[in-house]
Amino acid sequence: MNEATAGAIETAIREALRSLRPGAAGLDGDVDLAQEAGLDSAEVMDLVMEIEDRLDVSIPVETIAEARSINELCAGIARLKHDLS
Amino acid sequence: MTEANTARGRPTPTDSAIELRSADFATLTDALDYAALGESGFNYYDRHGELATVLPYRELRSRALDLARHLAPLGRGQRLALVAHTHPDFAVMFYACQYAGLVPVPLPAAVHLGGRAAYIRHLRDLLRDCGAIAAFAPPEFVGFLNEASEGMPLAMSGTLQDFLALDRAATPPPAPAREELAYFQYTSGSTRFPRGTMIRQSAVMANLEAIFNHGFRLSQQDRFCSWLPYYHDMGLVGIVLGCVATQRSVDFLATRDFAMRPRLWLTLMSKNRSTVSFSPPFGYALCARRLRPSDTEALDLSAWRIAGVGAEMIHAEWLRQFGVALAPAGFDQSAFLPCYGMAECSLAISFAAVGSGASGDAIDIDRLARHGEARPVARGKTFIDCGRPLPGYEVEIRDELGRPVPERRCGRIHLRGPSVMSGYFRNPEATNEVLSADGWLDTGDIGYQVDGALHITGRAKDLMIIKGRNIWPQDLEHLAEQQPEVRPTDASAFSIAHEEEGETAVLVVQSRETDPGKLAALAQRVQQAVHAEFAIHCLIELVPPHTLPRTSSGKLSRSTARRDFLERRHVEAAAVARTRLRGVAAAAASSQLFHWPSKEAA
Repeated sequence: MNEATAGAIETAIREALRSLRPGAAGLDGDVDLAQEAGLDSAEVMDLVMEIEDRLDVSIPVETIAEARSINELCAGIARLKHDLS
Repeated sequence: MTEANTARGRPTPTDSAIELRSADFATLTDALDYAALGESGFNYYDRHGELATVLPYRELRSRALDLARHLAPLGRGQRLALVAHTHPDFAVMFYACQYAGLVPVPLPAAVHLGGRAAYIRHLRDLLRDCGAIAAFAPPEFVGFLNEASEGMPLAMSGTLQDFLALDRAATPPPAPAREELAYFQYTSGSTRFPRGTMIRQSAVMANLEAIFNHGFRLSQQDRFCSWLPYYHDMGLVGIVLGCVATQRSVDFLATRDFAMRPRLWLTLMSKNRSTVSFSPPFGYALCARRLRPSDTEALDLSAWRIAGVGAEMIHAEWLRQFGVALAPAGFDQSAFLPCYGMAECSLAISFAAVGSGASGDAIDIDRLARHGEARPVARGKTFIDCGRPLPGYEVEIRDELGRPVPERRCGRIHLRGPSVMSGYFRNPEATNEVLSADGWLDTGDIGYQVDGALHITGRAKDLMIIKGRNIWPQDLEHLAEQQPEVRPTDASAFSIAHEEEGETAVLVVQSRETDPGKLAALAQRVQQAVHAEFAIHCLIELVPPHTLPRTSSGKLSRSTARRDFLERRHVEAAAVARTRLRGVAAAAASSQLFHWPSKEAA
């Protein structure tokens, strides 16, 4: 996994977040994402969809369940993309 | 998934090509035996709305019969836990249990962002509570299941393939009898106090027979579409078991895929000319919110004749919004079919009249609150007509002393009928609380009748339903009481009406702490804990000791706590900027704690 890809994933996550919560796109990468951005379960699904569409990847429940922060989500998706390539 | 059931490009036809029988079977296996003679079946769609797997009833039966030989040695009457993800393997496992005389226990298949640990704990609690002999999950969930079942005395934990590797009985197991248990259904999202309703074959069949003969009748042209979770009564009993019992084809969308892309539901309905679909009010609201005007152009929902709505309080406004948004696509609001039911009654108790839509009864809300009388007024609060009880079911509305009340008087809804549960598994205390010796079930719901038709006004039991999710107050209180500054019985949770959300959770917490900074930190910690476990916004109010009201027996009264809270808020709203909340509460309950995360207009 190179840094360029990791950067692209993080950008996609932040863009997706911005579409839901304009003020939350600059969130610290290590804080609790749903809590700090104030997303409920339906909105989290909305966010996941936005990320999936931007990155053209299907994010399995295992990855969602493991990730609390932007950085963890980023790492989870990076592993996913790595396994697929 | 095996080769045998990969998609064949075409979903099963709507017309089963056999004479339609309306759920008039003795057992669930009799129903599948008959459905397997026809062409209809289950169709599973992926997150793009593409057909992924087709499972005709013929194939469901043959695979279930084969698997039943492998399950039978686990022991008749033993519980087999099934992680109920919307997946063909779940259906095969569920019916294999029926043929083998085992009791399937559907477990939730929903995980939040970062919610792995909480989900595994929940699975573990349920596995323990039902005393599972073995546990199954489809591939997507087997990792969670195996972690949850670690160290538990299970004969097997794995996917369908793993179960096929078990020893095969030489002879087919005897078919289930009417009085045998058909399944357990866990009733609530309560993580600490799970309650498994035990449902017999005779009970579920009686309910299905009543639903499809008196709730609404089906024809050979009817086709279902559903995204409802398999671990809720409406999705499992109403759709999975109901479609088999009426030989109807059904198009399934996983709940998670619906939550991400609600429009997919409507796209599938349109594409397959589906005529029947059910959803809690929240599902209709979510759809209406995400819909773009351009979406309706591509949709044709004119075939949709039954849009069932139940499982939580029905907000007329949400349905109206959906109806207005989808009218250009041919959706007819008279298709709304309000119904009332619960897992303790297998599924359904009453249906409104087919074709009449969601009709409301506007009543004087003050009079209702003060005197329990539902008096009609021109501009009152509207409660939805959920119809008369199904034939064979008796309903009584009772006052606090247990006496039946007349029409238009509010009280606790009690119910007696052929599909009432046998009790909560290994929980005689909880069973005795709701089920009397002569078969009356205390539903815990509050309502009134008009010309026999039920109108639900609230719940006597404290269950909160937030965004379609069942939340028990004791679970929220427990999270608050985990904090070092909070003692047991220092927290009270309840819900209040909220314009946008329908209902919202509130936690009032007593604390001896007086330092404003520490109080703010405490509120934030509690909020985080609630969010991590339940993914809901919760309003936190911190109050000084002895604020929370107790009943004469010393127990906390949530209903009084709620009333006091609303009064404090009312006072606060009236005083507006003059002063914030007084004393200790003022510091902690700063505007930030009462602040709702701003929402994008959808």
